[in-house]
Amino acid sequence: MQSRTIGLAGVLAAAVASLSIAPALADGGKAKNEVLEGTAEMSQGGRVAFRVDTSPIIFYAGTVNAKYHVLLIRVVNRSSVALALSREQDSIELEFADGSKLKGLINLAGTDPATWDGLEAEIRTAVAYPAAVPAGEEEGVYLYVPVGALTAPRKRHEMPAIIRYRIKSLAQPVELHHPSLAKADSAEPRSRRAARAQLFKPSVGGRETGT
Amino acid sequence: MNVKSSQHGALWLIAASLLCAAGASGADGGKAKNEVYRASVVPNSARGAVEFVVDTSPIIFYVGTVNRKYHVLLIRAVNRSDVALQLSKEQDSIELEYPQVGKINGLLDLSVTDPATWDALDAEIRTAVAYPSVVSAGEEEGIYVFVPVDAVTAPRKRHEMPAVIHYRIKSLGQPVELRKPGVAAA
Repeated sequence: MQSRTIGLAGVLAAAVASLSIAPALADGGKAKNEVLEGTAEMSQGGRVAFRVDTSPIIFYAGTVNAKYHVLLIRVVNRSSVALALSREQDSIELEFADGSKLKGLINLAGTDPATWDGLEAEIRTAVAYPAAVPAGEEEGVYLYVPVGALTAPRKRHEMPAIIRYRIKSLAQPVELHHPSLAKADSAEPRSRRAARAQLFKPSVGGRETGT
Repeated sequence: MNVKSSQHGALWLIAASLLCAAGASGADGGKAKNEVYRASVVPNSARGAVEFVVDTSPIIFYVGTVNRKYHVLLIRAVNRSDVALQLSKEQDSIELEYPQVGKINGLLDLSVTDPATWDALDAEIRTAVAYPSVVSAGEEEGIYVFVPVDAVTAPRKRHEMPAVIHYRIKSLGQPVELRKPGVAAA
């Protein structure tokens, strides 16, 4: 009995030691991704999940036409009805930790046609704001953020604390937060956060994370 | 009879699970899907491997540029070995191999190959994307590869990523070949 206890203690000590050494050392440093997530409940039932998963450096190093940084929001519709989107009536706002807010552009064709026309047709097709996210499907929403408006956060490699996505067809705006910083006072229960994480588990044949 | 009905129940459960799985895979990602490349190399006389990972959306890779001249690709190098991995911005090199276009050189040291573009980056971005001199044991570093826009016009129009990324690190005896999981070397 005593030797069994000692054996268990040994295994436990080894497990704790391995946990505290190897993974903790690889801290990710400047290559680490930042993730923001949110969900929307469809009035007919079911959920739509929203996720940003990007390296801040990749986000800030590249631009479109030296004027915009581009952020990809993945939208996964796990409900049984289509989510209607509107490039004229939907909007996105980025809020940083210091409280500053700025607007992102979702319809570059309308707001900056010269830049839009400068993109290759095959890229324009891919980054155009979708009209809907069909039931059971995933779409990418590409968000353009003016370079000049992001000078301070870019120098700090700082991503927004909140992305507020207003979709006309939804009653409430969708708020994407860092999962680990999900508001303590949030009305969202832990079980729902876990369910949202489940929504973004990779589906067969591909991954849905990272940029 | 009881055995038979429990067998039926089990079959229904399996069928229901398969249907659920089919539903989940219905969200196929479409144009937002990422492409992932991996490689793992054990340095000489080391215990443990260095892992290399690229995980990117092809659209994000191709839509953005640095100074309208380069697309940027991030390779994460995670050193899980017990020795430091030495890197050399002069002697290391990267090639992207496309099925139809062939091999294209990526740039690791933009400060030398294109100082005007390098100097135009914010200092804080330059620091972040500079080629590291080492990946210390137990640490992770980001390797930023600059790919000339004009060299990948055809793949960009197809949203096509390389089949293989060949990363030659002078201090390793062997080249690192990053491939998509499940795609074996030819």
